[in-house]
Amino acid sequence: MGILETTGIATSQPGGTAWAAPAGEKVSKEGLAQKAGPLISFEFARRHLAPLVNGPLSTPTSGFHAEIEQNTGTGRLTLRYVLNPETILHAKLYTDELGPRCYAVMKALWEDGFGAGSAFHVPEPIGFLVDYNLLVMRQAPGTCLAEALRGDPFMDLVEGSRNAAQWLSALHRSRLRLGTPEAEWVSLKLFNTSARLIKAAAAQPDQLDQIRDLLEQIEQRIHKMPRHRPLVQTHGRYHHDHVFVSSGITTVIDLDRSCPSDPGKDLAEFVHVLRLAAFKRGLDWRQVDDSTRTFLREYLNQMPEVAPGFSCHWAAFMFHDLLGQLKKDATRRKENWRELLDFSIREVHSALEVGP
Amino acid sequence: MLERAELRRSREQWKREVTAKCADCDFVSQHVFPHISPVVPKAAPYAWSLDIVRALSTGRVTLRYEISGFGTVYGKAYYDTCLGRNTYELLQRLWQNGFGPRSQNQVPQPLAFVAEGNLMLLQEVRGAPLTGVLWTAPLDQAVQSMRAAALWLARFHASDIPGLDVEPPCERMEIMKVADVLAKVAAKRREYAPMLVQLLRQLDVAAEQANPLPRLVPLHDQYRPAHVFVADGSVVVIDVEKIRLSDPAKDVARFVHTIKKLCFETGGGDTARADRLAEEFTREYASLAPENLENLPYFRAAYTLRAFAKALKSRKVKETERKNILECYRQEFERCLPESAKTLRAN
Repeated sequence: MGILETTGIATSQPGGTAWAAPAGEKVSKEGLAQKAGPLISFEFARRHLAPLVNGPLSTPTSGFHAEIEQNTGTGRLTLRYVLNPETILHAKLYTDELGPRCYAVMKALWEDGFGAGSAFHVPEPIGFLVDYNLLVMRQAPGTCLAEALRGDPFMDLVEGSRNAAQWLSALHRSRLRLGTPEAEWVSLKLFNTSARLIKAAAAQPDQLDQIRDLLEQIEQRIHKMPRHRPLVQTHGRYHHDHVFVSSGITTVIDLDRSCPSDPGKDLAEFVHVLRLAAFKRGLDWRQVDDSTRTFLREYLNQMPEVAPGFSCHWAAFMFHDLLGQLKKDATRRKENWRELLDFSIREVHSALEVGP
Repeated sequence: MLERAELRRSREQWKREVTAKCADCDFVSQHVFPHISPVVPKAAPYAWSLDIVRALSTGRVTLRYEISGFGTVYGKAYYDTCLGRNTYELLQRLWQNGFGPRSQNQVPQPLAFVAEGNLMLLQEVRGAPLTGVLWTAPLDQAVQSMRAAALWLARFHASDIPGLDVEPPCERMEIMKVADVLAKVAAKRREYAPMLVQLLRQLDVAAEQANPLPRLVPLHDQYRPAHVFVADGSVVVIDVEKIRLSDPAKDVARFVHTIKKLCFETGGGDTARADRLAEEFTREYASLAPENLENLPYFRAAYTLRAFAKALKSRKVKETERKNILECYRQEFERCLPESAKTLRAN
């Protein structure tokens, strides 16, 4: 298989198969795992990965190892390869068109401020194997910020949140614009929220008036958003479990959904997901509030103009979460359903109280 | 913010108060008589009557004053404290700039704004609304009326009205309005929820294919046959009060949708005629401003979905007719969708 030097995209070989599902067709978790089976073989690594890194390849008996690292049913699966003790790669198997796009974004970022010599990184993209719809990258160095929620004493939630804010502000100040700009109703997840609204109304008809009152408040908040807000390169899924911190370098993974959009979206996603995860784990809430404040202060000091977009997206995302709880019928509710519901309601109101 | 129920109560209270005030003899002598043409002499007592033309829960009440021997004046009272004056000023601007007496495309003549009642007074509009010609007039006449309505709208969309607000993108797409109706239906009939979610997903696919940055023009926002009056070659369009800069395809979609809705729900089901009239209107508009119609399929689908959901639970719809009406809307919705959204249904 030839490697295109300029792009790093591996060319198709005769008889090769493009591993993309037909448009609109979903590949099951099991189906994807089956597809990934041949990719964790030594032979696959020898033929397709070793040439990408020009490094020695350990044998299966002397340290080579490959495994499926993550397969959560999103239609994408992550593989981990230990080619030799110094070379650990991650590869992401796609079933849609996101792979080549993500590769292009990572490559552009790596070469323009998020690569060697910078304090802010994306994982180094090594290549994209078209025949397999497989994006290959080096392992992100450091410890995942999510470890702070799991009690890792070496990962401080507040400091890690500060690092996450610095990385995000660097991305949002980047001059790059890659991909199609996202419409406002997409960044606010309004269609998804509407679908949940229908389900929640069906599941809790007696709550309809309260739900609609909140919907109206969200609408008013959206209405009040400044018309001319910044449009920047966003991450798209800015969660704490995508942030890796090592000494002096912060690396952020998973740029599948990166596109030009409202930067407030990334801020809101980080705050909303972190606080929800912390609540579910029963963390000390003062520490969670501290990390939220640190994250926002660090970021908004650099880009204060993002504040109105943030508060609006936060309110919209929390309302989306609240509807997610409300739509569950009694048989699908977890034990802590009531607590999660109350938490979502509190958070929606907190978000709505933040000035536009 | 007023809670929903509180707002409803507040509007009802306002409606009672404003209709009482507008019916008060002193109020009428002082604020309405001076604007009747020809002018009513002050001294004499005159027989007059007041009709409440429309008083829904929208925060607007339409009134008609008739003074025997003199004439008719329409009044529009507003719950919203700014909307009345803004609308009056807007109508004045339009009346004086291309939509006045020397034009074949007009708005109603604004006579006065009475701050005391938050009431706008308007000259009576001649002619009959287009709803009267849709099903009963000879087809040729109805077609001509459709073309005239399209011409008015294209001219309006091409007009330059300074100082208008821009309708924000999320409101422009009407997503939350559609969702609100669908949620109300789902709360009453939970068995419909999966179908409504599926239809909403299809609308989402249509939105993905819409142009998120359309050319923005003054939008009437209530452009329906009932608001378009045709007489002696002139077209007068009423209810000009929600004007904002927005996607022109919305006005076209609403007009076409209303023709279809009237046909499905009240027009006797002559769908071929409804299709022809809608097509004539759209074709005429497209010949004048083709660049404005990029998002027409999306908005037609959005309005149709909302009407479909309303028809699911509406008490006004007879049970014997409901199935047929719903099927008409389903077909109409399908017609408006891009191919990729139709595939979604098949999956």
